[in-house]
Amino acid sequence: MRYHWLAPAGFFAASVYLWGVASNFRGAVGRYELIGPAFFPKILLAAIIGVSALALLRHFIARRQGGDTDTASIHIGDLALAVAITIAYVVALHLVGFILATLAFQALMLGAVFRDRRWRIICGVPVVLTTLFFVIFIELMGVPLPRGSGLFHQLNLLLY
Amino acid sequence: MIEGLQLAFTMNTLVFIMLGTLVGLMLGALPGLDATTGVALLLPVTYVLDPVPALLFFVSLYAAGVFAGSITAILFRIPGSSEAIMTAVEGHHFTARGEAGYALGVAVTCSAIGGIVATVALFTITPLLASVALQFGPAEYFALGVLGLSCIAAVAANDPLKGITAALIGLLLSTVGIDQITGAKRFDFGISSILGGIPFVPAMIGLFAASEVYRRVAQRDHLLVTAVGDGGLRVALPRLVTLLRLRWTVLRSSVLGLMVGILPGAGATTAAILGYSTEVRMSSKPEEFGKGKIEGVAAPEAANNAAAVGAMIPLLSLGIPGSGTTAVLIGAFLIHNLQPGPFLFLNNSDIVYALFSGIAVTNITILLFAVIFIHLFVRLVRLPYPILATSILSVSVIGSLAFGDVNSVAVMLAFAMLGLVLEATRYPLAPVVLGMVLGPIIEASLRRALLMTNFDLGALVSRPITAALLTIALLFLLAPLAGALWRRWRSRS
Repeated sequence: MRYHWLAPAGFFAASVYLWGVASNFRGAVGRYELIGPAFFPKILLAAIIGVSALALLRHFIARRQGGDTDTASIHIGDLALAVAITIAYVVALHLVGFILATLAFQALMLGAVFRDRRWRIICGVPVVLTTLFFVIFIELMGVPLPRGSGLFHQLNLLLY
Repeated sequence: MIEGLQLAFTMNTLVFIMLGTLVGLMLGALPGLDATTGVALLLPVTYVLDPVPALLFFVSLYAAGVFAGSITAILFRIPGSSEAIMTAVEGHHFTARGEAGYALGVAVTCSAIGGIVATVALFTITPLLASVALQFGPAEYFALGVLGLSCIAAVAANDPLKGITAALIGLLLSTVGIDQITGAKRFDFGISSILGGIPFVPAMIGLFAASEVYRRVAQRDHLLVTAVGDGGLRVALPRLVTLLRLRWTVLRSSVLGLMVGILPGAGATTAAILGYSTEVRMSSKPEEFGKGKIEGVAAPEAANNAAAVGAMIPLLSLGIPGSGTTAVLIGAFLIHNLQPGPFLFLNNSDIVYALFSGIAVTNITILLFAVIFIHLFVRLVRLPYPILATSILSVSVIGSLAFGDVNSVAVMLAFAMLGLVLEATRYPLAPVVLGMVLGPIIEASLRRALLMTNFDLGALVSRPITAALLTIALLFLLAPLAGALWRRWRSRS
């Protein structure tokens, strides 16, 4: 609960910023001016600012009364690694194509994030899963998944 | 009508109903691919078929696809299609308790019942319901949207302030892209791929599936099923006593889903949300929802399948699609030189009644095929979580790519982070979805209604249906507050 004020504070700050963005919406003339493009977003932003302020107030009152009881442990390093590997996967999809990128992504997730040290899992599972996804998404459904660029594009053209 | 029945019960037509059901189950269960995509992809394939088998192939694909989204929703909290969003919220708790088979059995049975109830309505009360839907103008749609949103009071009963904040965030997210009325760009920040709005499926995959994997990674919680009992993962149709206990839930949700399905544009997703929220409100123990209550699975499943069938009513009688998939279905009619609408009843009534009969058969084939099909999916739960998590993240990325480009993946990742932050700070996710689905309906209807009434809010809310719907919404919003005050007063006295 100690850091729970961050969410309403973030919503409050983001809403104030977006209010400024909404003030620059153009496109309504004549009768439409009253219900222009900023009409509904501004109602919502005002409401978010109000409820976030209320949530912040409630949080600090609760802290003063000793309601700080949250003890859940968060492993930020693991989370950052998993997100970084996913982003790298998306980038790799466009560089080396679906097959190589998916194989590498799955091996990295199993080995680095889930700390599996069995080589038959780290090597075997990605091969099985990638083959399965290849059959379902490319062969059966015809989804146009990335083929990569340069040499990888030429190589992948031979497969799909 | 007799001719129509004869057309529907030929061997050729029955084979295509079964094929459509199988394809729909497969597409609906795969995140990133849904019934709409399936219908669009396979439209050209049916050029060579007769109209009735071709149309029933698509109708069965649609109905099966709507149900199948609940399979992955219950097992992995990945809604295979947007219609299964509330099933994901409630149903995944059963998997965690080792009762996935029970939840899946209830889901498929209630889906079939919802579809059959709506099919009876197709035959009997189509003209009456269609005329009620015709009376709905922007003011009524606005009130219907507010009524849908009012359920956050029940869904977030423990902390209404957080529920309201989450719903407001969802509503705000629904305003991203080109404004429907003025054409102005809103909150696009120069990204052209979100000008049409935030892509819904990648957003939902991120909010529910990817965020769940990241949450478990962050907490090193690597057990999917915490207590699998003997037969916990065995799919079995619910016992008669369970069905009798759920009879009012299923009936209520089926009728509600049918009504929502008939309203053009509202769709099966809205029906599922309204079915779920109505059940929360009607329950004597609303606080048990969101933690794995079987009524929370039965209600959206009955409602979304009833809505899928109900959406056929405006399509066939007025030529207006009741959902995204029925909009694509119009293409199937046009391929066979058929124009949906009043003239279809006059000139091709045999085809209309063949479709009605075929839809009834479809609901039974879903029930039969789903039990076999689900067995294959349920086995996946036994896999070690790291392998499942890796698969889920891969499918999340591939599914998002299938719906667009790299920006769709960015949307998926952004929503995964949003879901992670919201869950870590104990904000409920369901109201975000509610806001995103109902936002466009509420905003466009409110602005159009204000324009039509010369900005007279009094005239807007004094329309009989609008006033009734808004009063009900207000009662639903205030009921939990009144209940809390009553309990406090009772405990003091």
